[in-house]
Amino acid sequence: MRNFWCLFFTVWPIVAVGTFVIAPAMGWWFPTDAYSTLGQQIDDLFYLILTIVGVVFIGTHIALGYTLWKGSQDPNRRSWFTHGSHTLEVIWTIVPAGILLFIALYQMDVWRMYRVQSAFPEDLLEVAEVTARQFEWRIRYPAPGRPLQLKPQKGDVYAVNDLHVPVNRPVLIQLRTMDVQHSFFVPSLRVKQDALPGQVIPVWFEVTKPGIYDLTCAELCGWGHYKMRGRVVAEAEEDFRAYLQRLAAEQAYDGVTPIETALSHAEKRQNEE
Amino acid sequence: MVARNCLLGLTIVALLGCDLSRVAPPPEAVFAPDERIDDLVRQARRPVVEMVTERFGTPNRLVAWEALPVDYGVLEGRVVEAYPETDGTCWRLKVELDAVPEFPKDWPAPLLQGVAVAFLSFGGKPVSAGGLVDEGENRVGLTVQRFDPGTGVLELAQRLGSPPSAGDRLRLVGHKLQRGRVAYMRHCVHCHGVAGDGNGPTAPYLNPRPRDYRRGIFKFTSTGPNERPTRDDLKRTIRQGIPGTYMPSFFLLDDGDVEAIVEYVRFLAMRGEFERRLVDELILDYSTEAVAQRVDAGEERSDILDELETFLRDELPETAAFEVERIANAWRRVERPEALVVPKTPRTPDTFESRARGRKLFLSKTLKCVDCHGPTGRGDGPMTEDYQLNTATNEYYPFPGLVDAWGHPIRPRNLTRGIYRGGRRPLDIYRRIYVGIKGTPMPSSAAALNEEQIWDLVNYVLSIPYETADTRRQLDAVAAQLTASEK
Repeated sequence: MRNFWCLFFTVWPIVAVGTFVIAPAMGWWFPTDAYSTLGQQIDDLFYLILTIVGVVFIGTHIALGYTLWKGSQDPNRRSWFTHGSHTLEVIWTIVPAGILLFIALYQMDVWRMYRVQSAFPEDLLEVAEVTARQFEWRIRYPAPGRPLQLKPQKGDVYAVNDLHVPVNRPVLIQLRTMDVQHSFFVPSLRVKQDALPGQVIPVWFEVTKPGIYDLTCAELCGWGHYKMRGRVVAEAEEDFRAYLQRLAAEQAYDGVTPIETALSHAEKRQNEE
Repeated sequence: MVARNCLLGLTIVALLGCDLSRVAPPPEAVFAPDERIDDLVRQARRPVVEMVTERFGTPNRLVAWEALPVDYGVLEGRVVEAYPETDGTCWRLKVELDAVPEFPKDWPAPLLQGVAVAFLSFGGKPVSAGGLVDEGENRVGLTVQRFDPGTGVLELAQRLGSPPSAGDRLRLVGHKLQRGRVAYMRHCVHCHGVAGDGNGPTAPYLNPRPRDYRRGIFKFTSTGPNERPTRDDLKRTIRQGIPGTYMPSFFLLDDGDVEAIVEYVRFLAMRGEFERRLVDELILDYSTEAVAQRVDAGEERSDILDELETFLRDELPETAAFEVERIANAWRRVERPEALVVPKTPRTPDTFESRARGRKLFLSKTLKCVDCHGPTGRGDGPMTEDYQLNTATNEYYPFPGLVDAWGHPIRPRNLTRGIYRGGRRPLDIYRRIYVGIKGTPMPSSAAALNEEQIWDLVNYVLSIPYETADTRRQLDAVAAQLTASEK
């Protein structure tokens, strides 16, 4: 029985560590690659914390196993009570506090880039205003070639559940909500930001790989929460421009003038400018 | 220690007690009957319910009535080989379908299960088919048990006499309607209800209420006033959602699902219309109230019931045939290209003069836009505070404001918000003005306006969200000049 408990508390950490070691290769749990610049840094933080926690976990369990084993060898040995040891308490308070402080300071840079507006990249492209509502994402782009304004403008182009952004350049969306709290969550880009009623929250990211990424709501927002499926389409800048032109042309459709004609007119105008 | 062990034992017993497999299955879905059926005398109720059920089935056993212009999903093919019967309860056939549709990966049942099978030829001889085809026990009595698209092996749930021979042609009816039901039950039913009556469990919390399809009235269509919507209209509504309401966008829903849902919604609408017309046919003479009145007026109750029986036997089937023809035609004709409301001229350039002319029309007494939408387009016109007459009962509604065809209070659109439920393309606004919004007090202005006037009005309406008191004054000044120069 004595050896059973030693074995029991030794086997689990070994199984746990073993599982973690093979997990990335087996495709278990670990997040897929992050397809945004900030996302990669966030992943680095995640792995740093995972390493710290892993080392502490392994160390604690080695100590536990060793103590159990040592104590079980000599039936006559009496326990050593540490209750009330001032020194020990100081040590186990200061060491974790130090680690926490380190993490708090170390992640500040990423936090600052992610959330503090003065630290945003300078060449940000304001792509669109994304308005969450029960239960969809309403998207407002500025007219092609125009900057995004806080208030809706005449030429604005509208879409729903389908956000297009250019790839390989920092882009910014203005996030708001029409009703309750929602959360703009693009897991593959590691972007997650709550949308708060009454606030316009700027969110920036730079997608590093063209593709289609899932957009979901990460804040339980009502009975239709699961319906808020959207997508972020990252594409080359000229494709993004063409998409916006087409969307604008479709929105200006009067049932008579073919959309292609409207598009070629828009192109001509742009070339003249 | 003993107490703790007892507690542990009890917990385990309790957990074992929660055997999930013993939870009762959910009740079978039913199409809730028309609300007014309860007003009919008992003898009139059953025939209506039976007739509707016979022609349309129940949610779990749908009937494909070939009189209706619904694309139920028809697959045709030919028998390559009939395998010997293994246990004498079903036929196993190797078939070659002319086309196999794609099925979603998470299809909840064996492929094509329940789909009706009709043989076009059997044992080399042609078979006449048609009429009702039922998911379950159809007339011919054959349904699919299982189908493997890889090997082409089709198992039928029943057998009738000797198996077909190689080369016989067969037809499978209803896979699309089935898919529509599955998708509808997943995405739509909680608001729109099993019967499409707009009465699902979440419906009471919504304003505006979810659409009740059973009148065949859909608000935003590309077809003329009083016409049904096209498949494309319904598809667009599902894809784009209706901004400003609880109808969300199903932008990422699979194309096949959306098309199947459209078909299922049309099916529900036709079912509702058919049921409604049958009730209409009976309610005047044979409601409990009407019968009581007639008895009071001196008629014999038994005479009335005899008369009802004769009517049900001799006239109702004919009426039903006539009504279904009418319903089918209404839905069929909107799919023709000429049924679409399309402007004849391109949009007038959005100039200041055009907007001024539009504003003048907006304020005009003949169009009455301002009665509901208000002089600034805020949706605060005087009608929103007036009591409206219910034309069905000839009484005033107990609440002030506008009322829609379903008897629900409705507010005119606030045009300053820039939210357009039926779409924001100039074409959409054109159609709202030309066609009106069906089932609501927004009328069709097709007769009152010419093409240019509609476009002027479109230009003005689209400019309202960006309008200030100043621009309004300037527009009015220009409009006044225009009027003066006309004179």
